Amino acid sequence: MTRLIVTGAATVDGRPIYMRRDGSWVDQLSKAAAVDQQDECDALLARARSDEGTVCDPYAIRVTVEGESVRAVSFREVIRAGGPTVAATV
Amino acid sequence: MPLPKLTSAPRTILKSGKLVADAWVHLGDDDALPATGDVLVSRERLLTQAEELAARRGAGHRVGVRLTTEDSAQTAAELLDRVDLVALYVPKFADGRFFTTARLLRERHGYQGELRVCGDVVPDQVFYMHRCGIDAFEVPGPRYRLEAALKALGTFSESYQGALDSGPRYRRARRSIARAS
Amino acid sequence: MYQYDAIDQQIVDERVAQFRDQVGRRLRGEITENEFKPLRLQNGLYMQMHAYMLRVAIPYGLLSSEQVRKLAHIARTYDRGYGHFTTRQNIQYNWPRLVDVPDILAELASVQMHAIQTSGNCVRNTTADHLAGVARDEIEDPRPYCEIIRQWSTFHPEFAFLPRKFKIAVTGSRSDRAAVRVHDIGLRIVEQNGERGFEVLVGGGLGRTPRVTRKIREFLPREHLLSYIEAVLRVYNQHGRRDNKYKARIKILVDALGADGFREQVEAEWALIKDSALRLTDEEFERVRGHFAPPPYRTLPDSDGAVAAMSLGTDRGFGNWLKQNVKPHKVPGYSIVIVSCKPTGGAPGDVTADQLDGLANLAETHSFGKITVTHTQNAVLADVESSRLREVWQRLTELGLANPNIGTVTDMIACPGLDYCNLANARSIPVAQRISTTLDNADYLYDLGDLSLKISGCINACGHHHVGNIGILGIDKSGEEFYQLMLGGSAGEDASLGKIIGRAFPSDEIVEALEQVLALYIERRTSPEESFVAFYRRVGAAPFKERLYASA
Repeated sequence: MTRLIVTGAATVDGRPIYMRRDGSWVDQLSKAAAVDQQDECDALLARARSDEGTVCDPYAIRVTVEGESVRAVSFREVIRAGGPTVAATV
Repeated sequence: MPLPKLTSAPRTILKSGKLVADAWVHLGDDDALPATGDVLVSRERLLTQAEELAARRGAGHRVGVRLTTEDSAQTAAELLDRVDLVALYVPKFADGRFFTTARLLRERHGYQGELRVCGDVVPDQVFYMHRCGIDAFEVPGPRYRLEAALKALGTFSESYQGALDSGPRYRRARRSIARAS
Repeated sequence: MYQYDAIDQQIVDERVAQFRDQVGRRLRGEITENEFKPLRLQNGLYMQMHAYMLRVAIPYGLLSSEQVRKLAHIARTYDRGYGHFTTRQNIQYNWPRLVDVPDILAELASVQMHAIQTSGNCVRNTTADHLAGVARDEIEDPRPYCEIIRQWSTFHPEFAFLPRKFKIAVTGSRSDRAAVRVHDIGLRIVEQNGERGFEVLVGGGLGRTPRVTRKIREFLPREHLLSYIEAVLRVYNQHGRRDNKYKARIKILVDALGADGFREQVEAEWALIKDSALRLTDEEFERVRGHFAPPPYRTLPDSDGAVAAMSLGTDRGFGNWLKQNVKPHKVPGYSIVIVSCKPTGGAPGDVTADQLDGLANLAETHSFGKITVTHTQNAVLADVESSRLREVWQRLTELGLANPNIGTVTDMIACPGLDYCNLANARSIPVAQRISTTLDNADYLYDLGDLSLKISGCINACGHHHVGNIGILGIDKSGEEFYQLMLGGSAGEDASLGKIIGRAFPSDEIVEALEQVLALYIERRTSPEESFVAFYRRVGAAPFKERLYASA
């Protein structure tokens, strides 16, 4: 089944961060709050929008949850969560 | 319809390099004309209520026009003898047409009076605005934004291209290089 | 090259202070992200998928060894050890932290560099022919004019919030290596009755609505350079569309008014300002041109024959490199070396800190301490003594910068694509890597001849796919990466826009499709002298369509 996770770019360095239920942020998609209901998601999003010091331009993404494994539905978000698919030149 | 980010009087504005008290009243097209005081009206109202507003000026009250970014310097120039102040209303800071309008009002149409900007005025644009001939700034939001605007006037002490405050750098006396023969 | 005086230095120093203050206000919550965005963008600071990205301006691509070392230092200290050359001859870093950016700008300012106007709806870095000053077909070095434009456009108070971004390119040569016909303004230095001036082209560009420029003036005397550009910008600032950002570039205004209508407006505005203070003085031309005086070349015998002989020697690696990556210089005894930033299997345009340091050293010992970044994401050592080419080749080989593929199909332009970019719909770099690995056969590449391949990961066309002889455009088809093939584009003096050949290919078929296109050309060309683009213009799309789609 798909659920919703609130994400955005960290203000300090732009890395992708994901919101937990208590309003704090984590770097791993799998540790974020994956909610079922749109209204739950909207509440998290409202909270995220008031946290501009921490996060820029928050938005919600769809993820699939199977046991411990959480995976973004959109390919863009998969790359965003995992980093560039090409090795750095160095 | 109220215009977003328009401030209400009395307010503090940045004018001629200082923070000063200001009492100009922004009137919407449907707002009643107050008995006394300085008022800013749209171009449309300035034209439709021409006689009344002229009489008001005759009685010692000042009248200004509030242009939008749709108004060109040319249309604004035709109103200059009817007003004591020109205000440029900026609906969104990214709509940079008003920079050209301001500059042309000063350089091409010889407007000497107060040229004010209002609406979505971002402090960090003030340096550019001032170079284009704007000398009064209504800055919406908390006081620190107004203070940031004051500071922004002095962001750069030099500039390359000519504008209202100076000619282009290459025309300023500063070096002695022999002309090519 | 241009050297800052006290005033230039003060301006960039004050910019650093301004941005430090802006970052401070952002972190203290005194300005919102929405307000901060245009401020950071005018300093080249984007938000990408994994991090901020900082684009550093390299005016007309020209760098000193000292500046290149600084770029290496920044890559090592504040980033992940590499940078990426862009199609505006700039360099961008993919991993800076917001709090470090003021310090990075201060480092840049210490070597007369900045990130001013490398993004935002303002006048961007003015680009030029990367062989400026050394090309044999050059009428005049365009860089002094670019520098004059750079100064005029830097913090221009009237044109910092245009409807959309604005790009200017200048060439002083007959052949167009600067893609001037796909710029908002393209300027070609021309001569009329012994007087220098410009042919003025406007309204070119790529993106959603690709356009080749329209000519609005045959000859603009050079002293009117700035007044005329100012008139163009003023018309655009007042009348360019602001209701839809995809229709906001000047090309759309030129479409709407027609070239004649647009010209009339510009000329009317220009008539009012042409004899103002904007009129350039001979003194200013001489001052700026003095900064671009030729380096102290030695008097040497002509080396064309010697280089040709060396290229036929027994060392094939060196010979291939001489034939592909070395170009004739206008001064006898010297050669131009193109440094390939397109290693087999690499990300086009990426350079490591060690490579940058190596290049800086090589430029110092072998090319008067100067390096030029090309819009094709390579670099140039412009002034190498031909007798020392072997040393340069050996050193570049050690640095991994000597792939002998300049001008071939593996000398690709590619945008960062979906691996980094927030706008992208599909990845570009992995496609480029697979292509360069698949086609890594020198004989085959040289048999294909001059052939430009350009890859973009979305319709915004940072990879210039419309003007590749072959273009590849990444698209998103319900969550999957697909790639369209375009054929027949050119960015040169024969500028043309490529046409989509047919339905898009999934990622695992695009390289094979490209191979089919190349095979058809090899089979059917009249002779190896018929270039790919000439062949396409002769036969049209039909044979390619048949080859690619007949079995489907």
